[in-house]
Amino acid sequence: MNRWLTAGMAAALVVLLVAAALWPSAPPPARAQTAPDVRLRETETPPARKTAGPPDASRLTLRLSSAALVEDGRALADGADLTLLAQPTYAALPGAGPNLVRISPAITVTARDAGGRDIGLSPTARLTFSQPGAASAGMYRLNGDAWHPVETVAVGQGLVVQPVGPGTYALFGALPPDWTVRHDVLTALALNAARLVVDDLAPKS
Amino acid sequence: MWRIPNRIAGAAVGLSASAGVLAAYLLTLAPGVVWSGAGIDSGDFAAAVAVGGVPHPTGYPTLMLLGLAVRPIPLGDLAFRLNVLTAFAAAGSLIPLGLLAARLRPRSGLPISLPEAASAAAVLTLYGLAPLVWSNAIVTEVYALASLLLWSAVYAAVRARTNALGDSAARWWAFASGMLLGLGTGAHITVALGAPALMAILLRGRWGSRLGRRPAAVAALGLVAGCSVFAYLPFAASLDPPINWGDPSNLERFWSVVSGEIYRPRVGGSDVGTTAAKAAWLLGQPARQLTWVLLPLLAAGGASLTRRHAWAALATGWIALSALAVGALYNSRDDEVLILPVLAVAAVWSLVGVDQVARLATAARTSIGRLVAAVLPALLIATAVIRGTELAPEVSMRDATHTQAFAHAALAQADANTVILTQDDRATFPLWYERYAPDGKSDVTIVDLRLWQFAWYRESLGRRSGLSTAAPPDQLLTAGAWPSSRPLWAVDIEVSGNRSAEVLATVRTLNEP
Repeated sequence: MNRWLTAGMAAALVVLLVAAALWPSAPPPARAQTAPDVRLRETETPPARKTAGPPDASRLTLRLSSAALVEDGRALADGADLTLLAQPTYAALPGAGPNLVRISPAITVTARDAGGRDIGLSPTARLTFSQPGAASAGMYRLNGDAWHPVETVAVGQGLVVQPVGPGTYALFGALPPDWTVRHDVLTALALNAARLVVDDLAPKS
Repeated sequence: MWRIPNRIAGAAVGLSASAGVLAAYLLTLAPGVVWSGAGIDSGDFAAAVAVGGVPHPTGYPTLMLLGLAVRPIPLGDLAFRLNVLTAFAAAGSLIPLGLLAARLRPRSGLPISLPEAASAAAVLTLYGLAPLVWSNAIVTEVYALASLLLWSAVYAAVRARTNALGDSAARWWAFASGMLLGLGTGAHITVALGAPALMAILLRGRWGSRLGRRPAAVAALGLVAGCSVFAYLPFAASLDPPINWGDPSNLERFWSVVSGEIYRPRVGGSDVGTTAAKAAWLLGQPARQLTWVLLPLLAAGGASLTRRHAWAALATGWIALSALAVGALYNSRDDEVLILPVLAVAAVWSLVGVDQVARLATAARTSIGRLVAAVLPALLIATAVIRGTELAPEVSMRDATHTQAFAHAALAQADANTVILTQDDRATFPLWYERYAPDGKSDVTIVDLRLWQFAWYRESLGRRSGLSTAAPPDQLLTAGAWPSSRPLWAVDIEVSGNRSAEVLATVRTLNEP
């Protein structure tokens, strides 16, 4: 083949590839999955219910007898009520490591002072449930009416609480991979957050 | 200057690039099954290997057989083992590309200088580090294996052609060529599109004589032998494994699986404008994936091939164009990956281009020629290093542990006889793997509602779990016909991005036993 012809074809190929690469087109939005789409179903089967109603909420009201919870630079006064509304579900926790399980999509924390007035929690405030000697902080499992320490669970500071909205926090617990996680245990863990608050805030007599 | 002998030049280039990218792959390897990026199907593949079953169509028997071979190896989790297998296949696919290019380069009879070898290795490394190639090399998928087998087949065909007609070595290379193509078809069905390319290599200029047609006939025999891996599918299905897509235990269902019947609605269907726009976008991928630096080399290599080995230009051009057409016409989550052969062809042409540019630079005997000869290796090596460093954090799946953490937590929390409803690959496949892995939880049933439409799926579920096949579990629950003692859960998937950490799976309880 003529040398100039092949050179011309090569130049045309480069122009074509460059033009295609620079063409202002977005990646195609084709996103069918491996399993056939629901639309292909022969039967008129509706998808699973999106919601089955809220899970049983576990509500725990605590009376703070000692102001030690510092939120947004303020100390909660004696006698303030702290309410945690936990909706125990569970999910893999993105970005946090292999063994972190999100215990609840959200825990609503409301605080009232001794006069019954709401105490506003700022959207960005982090609640830290720390306790003296945090290295020994652990989790407890509710067995009957008694709390028993779960010694195999190493949770560092015990629990991580992240703000997801005003007064709403996501609660995470770190679980070893071989630990049997059960619904009731997660509920207990969610409640145990309050337990830690009590342990931390109750006056040491 | 020290030179590498011609007979080992291709192997030296291929092996050095292969070793380099293998290190990159292993450093960024997914730890198990994942639900993001290129690995959404990894849970399906791993679960199918775990039970000796049949993954989604087209069944991928070559991967299954290799997976069964690595299953007993005591190295980490089964899914991790399969990821390692994929990484080796992906790195290995660079070797036939290097060997092929060494046969096609303009100075194929001469030794190669070290700078030229470094340039060639850098070009191959750039191919291995292309995001599309890389992301499919670090988690269980079929494309790396398909690429390895396709390009091994093409190389074997070239070897068959370069041996004297009637030579027994030519026959063996031809047989190997066909067999590798058959095995490749068992890795991914689109590898079969390489058959005309092989025939073009083996037959061009030789069609007129019976002796000339013999290598092609031998290759056809090899193809039949390679395709015998598909016998795995009915054999596996006959054992009634829990992962048994399409139940290919009779001829009709076998054809349905290997022809991808359930995916046929995804072929075409778009208007001409949309298809053309997609084709244009795919055509731009070589520049995006391999970097702009390679484009002049690609053009130089293409010109050299057209002049010196038109049959090779024709064969590789066919492979690229057929892959481009398939990518443009097929609409699925991973259709982009179907153009991997285009990138491989671009890499081969660029490798030939390296030799062509070096030849021209040497022949010119000018200061510009010397400058090009000196700068080209440094430019290509620097580009490969920068490219790898930049892309590693973006591509890496090393921290993609969320998928199995979710599946483990979900199954660990499930009481005996719990039924978990899913409607998303990201939920179904990791749960399958966790359920059917060697130490999986055996008393939980996972029901993908999207598969309920298929008789083989309902029958299998009914046999294994005692579920009523009269209606899907969610409908039975709504109708009040769901057994109150049996927990029924559903998994919701929220996706905010392509990374593993950007997928959130949540389990809901639908009833309170």
